[in-house]
Amino acid sequence: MDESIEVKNVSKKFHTKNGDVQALSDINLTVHDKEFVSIIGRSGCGKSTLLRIIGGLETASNGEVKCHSHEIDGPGSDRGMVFQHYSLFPWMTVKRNVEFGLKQKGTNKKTRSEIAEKYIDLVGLKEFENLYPKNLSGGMQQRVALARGLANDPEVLLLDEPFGALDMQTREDMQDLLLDIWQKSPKTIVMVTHDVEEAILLANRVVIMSSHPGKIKKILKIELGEQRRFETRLTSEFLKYKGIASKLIRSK
Amino acid sequence: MTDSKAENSEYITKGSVKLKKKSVLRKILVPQKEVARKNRIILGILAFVLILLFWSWITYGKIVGTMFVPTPSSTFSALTNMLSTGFWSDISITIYRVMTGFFIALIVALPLGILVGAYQPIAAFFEPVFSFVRYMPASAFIPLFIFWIGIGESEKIAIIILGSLPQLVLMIANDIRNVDQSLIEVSYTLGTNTLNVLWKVILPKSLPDIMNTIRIVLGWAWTYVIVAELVGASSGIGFSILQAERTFQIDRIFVGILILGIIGLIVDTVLTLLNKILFAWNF
Repeated sequence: MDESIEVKNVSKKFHTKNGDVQALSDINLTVHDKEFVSIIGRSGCGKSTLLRIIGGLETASNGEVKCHSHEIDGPGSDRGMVFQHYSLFPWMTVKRNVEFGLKQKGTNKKTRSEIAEKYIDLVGLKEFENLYPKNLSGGMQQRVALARGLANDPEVLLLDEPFGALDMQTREDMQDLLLDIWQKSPKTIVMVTHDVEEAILLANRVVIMSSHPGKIKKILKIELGEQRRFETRLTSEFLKYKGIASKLIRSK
Repeated sequence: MTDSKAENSEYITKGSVKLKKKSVLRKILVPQKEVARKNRIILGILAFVLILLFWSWITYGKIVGTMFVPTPSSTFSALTNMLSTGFWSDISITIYRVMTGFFIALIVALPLGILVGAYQPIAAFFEPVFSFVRYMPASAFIPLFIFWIGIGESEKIAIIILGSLPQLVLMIANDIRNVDQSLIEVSYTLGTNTLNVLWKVILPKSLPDIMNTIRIVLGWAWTYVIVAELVGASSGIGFSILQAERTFQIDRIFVGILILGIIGLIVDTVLTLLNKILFAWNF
């Protein structure tokens, strides 16, 4: 398997008024091509910081981060990101939001339109493509954000608590949607979440982090088969993983 | 038994009536609650009608002498009289001064404000100076500008530029800064860079706010032009107010002030409407 993301000996210190805070300490993680990895831990464990370092939005204090053997130097369209609060461009319609990345790449209008329509259809928003974000519900806005991230076809998709702001039903719908999309066309995805079930259901591996300083406590390989569905949550293997993960998160 | 029951129910009705009375007021006055457009317009007009009634009462009722406050009818006839004897040219010269001065200020302030808002080093350089100038009232510069430039058009336009430029720069910079960081970050991960993010993301997002800033500062520019015309001018609305004062024509002063208010209201309404049409996504 090819390596997609390589994180080597990464640590991160934040300088604050009250002194330095060690957010991450000695992180080593390799994400393989077309692998789904979720990162989970208590708030303040540095999981979002790690994701932002991979995304190039923060720089590591020490260590190196590579994407397909290239040293990461700032953000780029090879690493698409989806944030918790959607961050759609409010002055653009759904369709133009989804087309945004393609337009930056210089894709021609016709191709752009076709690709955008494909992904809008994929997330089930066909009738809404000409609406502005403010006219959509939170769940719908996050679908657009997901479609926008996917349409740009990045090598890696980074999801920062993507469903954290949604209610439980919508969140489960979104998890099913993401599962479905990933099973149909696998993609390298790194997702940060605080939801244990979500982490296990979607991922090939779950990275469990501990806080102060943020360290990787354990990486759990999840073997629930390729075809996962909503009901997978109810199987005994799933619950076993959930038990192990929950214990690891809680233990000091 | 039945009697006491009846009494009881009456008591309850009374109680609920009391409750209802309270709830009518409460229903009308709910913080931040939206009111139907029709009712809003009626209330707005009502305020003007009340002012007009009060004005009529104190003048026709001879509570204040017409030396100090003219009657609505004499004000109106002064208006028609003035309009037929060249007041139009005063109105248009004042509008011309405001618009020219404000437009020049805007042409400079727009790029400068955007740069100050987007780039910290540029902000660090310009912001203290503009903040300082902002607190020096433009009207205080009038004597100096008359001394330097004279009392022609350029002096009035210069006053308006001086008054509006710092405000515009600082407020536009703030509008630019208000763009959510996550919007900028997400656009980086979609392929924008530090150069084009400014006009692909930051500017389009802040345009409605900038438009609003323009509307607000334009209102202030009106104040500066009138002061400039009161101090040294031979035409304009401010000048005609001063002329009226010198000849004790109180109704003409009223006309001048009212016209200023009406023009301001029209411009404000047009700009608000334009904002809603141009930036429908924001409303």
